[in-house]
Amino acid sequence: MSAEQRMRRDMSIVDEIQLVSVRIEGQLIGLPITSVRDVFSITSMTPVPKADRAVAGLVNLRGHIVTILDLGYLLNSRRTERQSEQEPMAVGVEWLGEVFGLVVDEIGDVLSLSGDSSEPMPANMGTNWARFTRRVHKLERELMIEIDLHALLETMSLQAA
Amino acid sequence: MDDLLKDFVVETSEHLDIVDAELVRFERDPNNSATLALIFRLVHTIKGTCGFLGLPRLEHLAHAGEDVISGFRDGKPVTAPAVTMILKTIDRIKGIIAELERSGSEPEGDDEDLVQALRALANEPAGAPALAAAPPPTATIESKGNLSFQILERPLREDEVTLDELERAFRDAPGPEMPSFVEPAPVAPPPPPAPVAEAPKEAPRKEKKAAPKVEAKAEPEASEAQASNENSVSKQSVRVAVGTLDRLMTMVSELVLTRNQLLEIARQRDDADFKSPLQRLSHITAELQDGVMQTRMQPIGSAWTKLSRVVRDLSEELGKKIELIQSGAETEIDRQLLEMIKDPLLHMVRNAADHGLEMPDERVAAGKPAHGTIHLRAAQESGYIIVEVSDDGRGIDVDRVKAKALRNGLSTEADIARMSDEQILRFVMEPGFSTAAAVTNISGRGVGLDVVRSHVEQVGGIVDLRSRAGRGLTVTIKLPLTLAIASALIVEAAGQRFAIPQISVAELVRTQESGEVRIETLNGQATLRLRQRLLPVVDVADVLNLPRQGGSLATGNQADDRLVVVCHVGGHRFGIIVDSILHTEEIVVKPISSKLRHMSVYSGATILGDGSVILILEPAGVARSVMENGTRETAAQSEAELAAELMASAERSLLLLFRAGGANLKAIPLAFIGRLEEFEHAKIEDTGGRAVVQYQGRLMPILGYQPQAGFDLEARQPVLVFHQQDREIGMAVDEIVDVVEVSIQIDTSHATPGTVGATIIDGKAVEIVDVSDLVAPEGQEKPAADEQVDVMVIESSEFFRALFAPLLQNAGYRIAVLPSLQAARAAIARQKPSVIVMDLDQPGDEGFSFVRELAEDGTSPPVIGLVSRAGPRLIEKGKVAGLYDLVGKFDRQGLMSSVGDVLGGYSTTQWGAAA
Repeated sequence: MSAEQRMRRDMSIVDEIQLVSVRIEGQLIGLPITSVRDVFSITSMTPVPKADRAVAGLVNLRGHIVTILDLGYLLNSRRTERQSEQEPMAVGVEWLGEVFGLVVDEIGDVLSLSGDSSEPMPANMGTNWARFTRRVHKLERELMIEIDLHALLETMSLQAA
Repeated sequence: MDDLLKDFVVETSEHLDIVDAELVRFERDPNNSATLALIFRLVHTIKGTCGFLGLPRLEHLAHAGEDVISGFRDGKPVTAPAVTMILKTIDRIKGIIAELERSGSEPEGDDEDLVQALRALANEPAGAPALAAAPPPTATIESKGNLSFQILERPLREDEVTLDELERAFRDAPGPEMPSFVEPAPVAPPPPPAPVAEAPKEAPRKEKKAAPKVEAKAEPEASEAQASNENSVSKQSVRVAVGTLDRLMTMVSELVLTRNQLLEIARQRDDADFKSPLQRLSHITAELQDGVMQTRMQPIGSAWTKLSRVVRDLSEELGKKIELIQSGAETEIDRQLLEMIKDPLLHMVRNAADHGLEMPDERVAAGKPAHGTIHLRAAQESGYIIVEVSDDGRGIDVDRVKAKALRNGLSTEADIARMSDEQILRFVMEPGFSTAAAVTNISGRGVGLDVVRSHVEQVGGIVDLRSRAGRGLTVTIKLPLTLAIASALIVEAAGQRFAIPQISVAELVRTQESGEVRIETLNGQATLRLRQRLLPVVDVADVLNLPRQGGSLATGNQADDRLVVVCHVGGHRFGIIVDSILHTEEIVVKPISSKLRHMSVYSGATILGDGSVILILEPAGVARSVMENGTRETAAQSEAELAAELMASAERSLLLLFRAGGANLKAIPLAFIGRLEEFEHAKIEDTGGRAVVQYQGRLMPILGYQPQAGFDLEARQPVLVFHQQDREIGMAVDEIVDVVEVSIQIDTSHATPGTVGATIIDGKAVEIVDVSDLVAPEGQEKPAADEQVDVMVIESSEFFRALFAPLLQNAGYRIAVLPSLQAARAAIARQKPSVIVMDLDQPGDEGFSFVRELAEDGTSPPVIGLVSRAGPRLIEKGKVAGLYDLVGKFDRQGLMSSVGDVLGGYSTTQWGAAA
């Protein structure tokens, strides 16, 4: 293996990222697998009256109280009410030592993607999109948005405070 | 920082705290050689450890300090400047330690100034006659002969005393009973794993430990570790990281939750197999919880040690003579709470010394002793920790507070006129009063008292002020025992459940449109007319923008019958309207998510027994939404007045108050008790381990009887006699106190095993004893789930279940008791009751629609409805729904005769005989 090849391989390792694909309001979204703790279904949720609309409620996850956030609101101000024929799914993410659940409509595969298939967000997206997303991955059939969880959760707490 | 150093920092800080307190005592009482010996030993240990760890700066300082102290021990006069000098040295040492803790190494610097001054002190010629008379430390050593006296092993430097000398110093006077100083104790334990770190731990513990003495010079080359090994003694306590304890506490909290869940399930299933192991589990969990909480407890005195130093410094600075008296220093308090009240305590003591106490000449002029007294008191009282700081100074001038409050616009003239002094005093804890201007205006009191208050309220505590003009001020802090577990009232509003911390709940009130207690609107704001006073009230559903449940509250409940939780927070009383009050539960308070922390209406969240998550309301936060609307409650009412009014207003029930097995008052509704008797102890016999007495020609068993020890057989044993179906059963009590008429409605507290709840009578908590086992006929098992019964009771409140079941059982009915309509629906088909007695005090129309449902069925038994108060409208409504009868919950006779009517009256005669 030539030095150049080795370098390219190393580069690609560095650049390769594993994303958990989820679907929210039809949009394919990727969450970095490193920040995803688990996936669970929401059985009974306690709403938090007067809280920010993005806070869907609190659930008891194996004896721990987890705050459920609605990604749809965070990103887009949800347009459609969630369908409730089945128990909603949530992705558990850890941020600054606290666990949050992000409600999603559908959970897909874990995708390994490399940086060369991605592009920065097009400029004409909404401000929230620009703030919370890292880049867009061009998959074969559609586009997947890679979320910057840190920016997302941090911005939210700023808004809250 | 390596572990060794970390340990050293912790140990040394502890040592220093002790030295601080001891020195202050020593200064007051220089002839107390016990104190002196202790100080000497502590400083010496610090010095030795420093040298051992290679901390030259510290060692140097401690050494110089030790010289001065040893001078005192040799009979030099103890002068205030010398003590100040030593305190200064200790402060410097503290500074270095703090730096050491932060950076892991001694800070650069020079202490020559202090060392020189100390040397000068040490070299002063001894011999002031007054103190030369101080006895050599003979008595000390004899009395403290079993104190461990321990030094680290290492090569000596030139300027140090050898251990031999030191030992001689201690043994100056004959101490024949102390051979352990000379030869190693035979019980030297095996070497501990981290021997070096162990060594300094021994000194501060004043337990009885015979420390084997190691000859310093005997093996100068001996490895340090080995030397320490020999020094170590058997451990009676273990040092545990705080984190470990916190984790344990978390796990216990989870266990409590799981236990609650199990209890909830068992309550619904009513499965006898579960009961006894579950009770045991419950018991063990409670003990475990106690045990773990115990490990987190620290005597409050550990926060007080610093205060004596503070007072000493202040008295010097201010030129006042101040004595600090401590009582209850051993009172234990959760260390987390302790941390949080340290600052408020310091504040209060400073305040008392600085502003509260007068100058000596002023005091003498006022006819008080020249030296002022600050009294620190701590005690555990009825589930709370009470900490009090009182001084005998000038107190707070109420008139000045009034003037200031008016000027600051905190209140109006008219309002103030109606306030009690206590309420006016509370103004000094308002933030507006802590400004610099306030210092001069109200003799400087109140500085930072708002800070004290906010600190204390943050941990769920309460601050109270009591001032006697010219005679002093007392600040009382009431704290919960622990932060992690709290008792809470579970309420429901707009279909959602919330928890309200019990500590802030004063009473529960049911309002009625036309009754004495009713809600009226004033300028668009709801107020509650309670005992002829107006109280701001707020509807939880409004505060939280909860959607109202449409329709179901069509009649009745919506407008007139509301439940109000009256809260008392920070001197404000206000009501929170809820739809229903479910029960009380011990909840484990979990912090709320960082995303919700800005919301002041919630203080946390918890998981209930049934596994659901609920939010904990913060009454103060909810109150703010009331107060912002400008309706500040100003009615001046002392707690006693309130309690009296409370008793006068609510529905009444006769309770017998007695004491049994403890100082606490217990109560049993008089209705259950057949007779009160006294038997001579001689007449009480023991048959097969059971105490019995001849009573009305039969043998009556006496429960809870403690045989008296031999003498005084003439003494009489008070016994409560209960009637069972056809026989009597006695219950021995220590003392029958009184019969009082109280409202059972005010009972809001949780039931513990053996009790059905608690109530407050004359300001004292009284447990209401569960007598259902006593009065229910023995041997009559609860009918199995599919057996036919006479009466089915559907009642959601545990208190009333415990009240009704024995009544009906005692009357000879076979009964089934069910907690909910859901459970009843299934059971009716199986158990075919002849009559149903059901609670109609339910949110919404559920109860009445259930009655309608049964009435339409045609084959169902008649239903007797139970309500708190049977008003004409309700009776009308009940008739329409198809009720057989409607009876007040406290109308025992009414209930019994109504049930008797349905069942053909055969049992009423039986009841009559039994009662």
